[in-house]
Amino acid sequence: MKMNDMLIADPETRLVVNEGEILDQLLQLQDATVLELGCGKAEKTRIVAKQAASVLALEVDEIQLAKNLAVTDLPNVRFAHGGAEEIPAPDANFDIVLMFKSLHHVPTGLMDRAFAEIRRVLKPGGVAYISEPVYAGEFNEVLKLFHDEQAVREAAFAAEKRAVASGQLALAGQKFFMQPMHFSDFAQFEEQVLKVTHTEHKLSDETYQKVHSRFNGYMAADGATFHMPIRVDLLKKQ
Amino acid sequence: MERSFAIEIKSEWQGSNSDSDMKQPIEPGLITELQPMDNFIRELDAAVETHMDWTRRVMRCAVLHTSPGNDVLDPMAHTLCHFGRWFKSRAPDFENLNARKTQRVIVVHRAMHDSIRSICANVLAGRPGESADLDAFEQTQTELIKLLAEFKTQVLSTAARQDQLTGLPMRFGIEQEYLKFQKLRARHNLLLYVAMIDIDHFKKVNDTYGHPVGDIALRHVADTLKRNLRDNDTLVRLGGEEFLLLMLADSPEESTAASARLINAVRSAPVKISQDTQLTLTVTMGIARATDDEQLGAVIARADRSLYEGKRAGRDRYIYAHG
Repeated sequence: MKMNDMLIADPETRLVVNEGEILDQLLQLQDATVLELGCGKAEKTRIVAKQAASVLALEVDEIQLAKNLAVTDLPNVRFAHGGAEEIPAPDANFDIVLMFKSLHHVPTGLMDRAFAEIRRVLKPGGVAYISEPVYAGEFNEVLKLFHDEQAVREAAFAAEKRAVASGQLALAGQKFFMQPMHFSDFAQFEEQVLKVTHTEHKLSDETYQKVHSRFNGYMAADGATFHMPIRVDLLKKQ
Repeated sequence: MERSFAIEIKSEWQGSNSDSDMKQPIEPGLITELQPMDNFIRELDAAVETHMDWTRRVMRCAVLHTSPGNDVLDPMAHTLCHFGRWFKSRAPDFENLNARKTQRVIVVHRAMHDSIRSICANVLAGRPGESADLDAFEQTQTELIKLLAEFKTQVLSTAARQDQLTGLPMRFGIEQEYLKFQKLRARHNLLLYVAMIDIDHFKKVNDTYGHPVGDIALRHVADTLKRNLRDNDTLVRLGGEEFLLLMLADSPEESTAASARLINAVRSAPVKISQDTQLTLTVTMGIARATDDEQLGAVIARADRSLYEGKRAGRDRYIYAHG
């Protein structure tokens, strides 16, 4: 696969599946040494830890990190503070580097450094699995009312392309799918999306009202279901 | 009398494609041929009656010493009679049902004609008939009628399991099929998926264009799905615009590729509903991977929830059941 084939979106995507399935399809996690950048609430970390030999899970958000450090039931996972642009790990240390929807949270000016770091810590032949939300879909219609990520997501994709164009990492494949999301009501959406600790969302009354009413447009008797399009890029250190 | 009966039978056999009941002014040739199964049964019934009637013809010949007709005395009578001609024309259908019995019908039918000819020839020549001929006639007639009755039973029971509109099997027997798939899955270390497939906005098609067009659309989608199945996939029409698919795969990738193919095939094959109108149809698929020993009802329930979710979130997609 060449860099020129690299797509930011695939409107033809029809597959709806949990990302865990995609991980299984694309990676050999069994007994692998794994680094996760931006692990957030460590939901994916738990899935990965079931198969991996060890996971170093980094998070820059101190509040979330503190919660992660209190986790006691993941003996092969080490939580630590760290950003993708400065990874606290030796060279050629990991088989797999994972970024679940975290690349666009890296400050734009540091994205190139992040790829240099990823290359540094990967073993030769190791792969970076980078999943990013595609700027499309109904969930995005709600999100962009108060948090428009178009610029940062495009910057993230541009950084990936540069990493490939410069030969730092080779494009091993792309996969598009839709991640199912369900909120039983607006209160749950508020809790899980508006009140995340890594980004402070301050909504004016007017915006809040707009978000509320657009969200309600997707509500059915048992809640609101969204299928969020996701792009996965597999980048290999040769 | 004799002749007119034969003609009546013939017209019934050959007139089966009469389209007097096709009143809809829709694209000719697009209307599904719903009647062939019914005609087949009617033809079979007529064949049985005709051959029951041979007893009467032979008896008239023996008692009245009148010729049963040149067609009966011809050495090739078994190929000249209406039944012989009809059976030959439908031989592929009969062979599909049961090749061995089809051969047996040919043999028995010929033997029956041989015995009739022999009986009648003796009578007309003023000789006493051979009891062996009479026995042969009775035995072959009985066997022929029995064979035809068995075919009829088979056709009727297949008809009950097969959807006449789409030609797909119906839900009857799906439990056994699922158990068979579960065994194959275990034996070959495969993955078994159950998918619920539903045509999107089908009610709108019916409401807008009427039920005859709805039927065309339904049959078109069924045909498109059928053409894009892999060898061992089993597709069943559950009723309405809903289908069930049993699918074995080596890996989740293989299953996603197979599902993508179905979804994409339906979207990219619009159906022609009149000279200048075609409809693009889509389907939504809810898919669940069956776990070991999971009951079919439970897998279907999971697949159905995914289907429902897919309908709500936008349709034209395939959704793998998740926890």
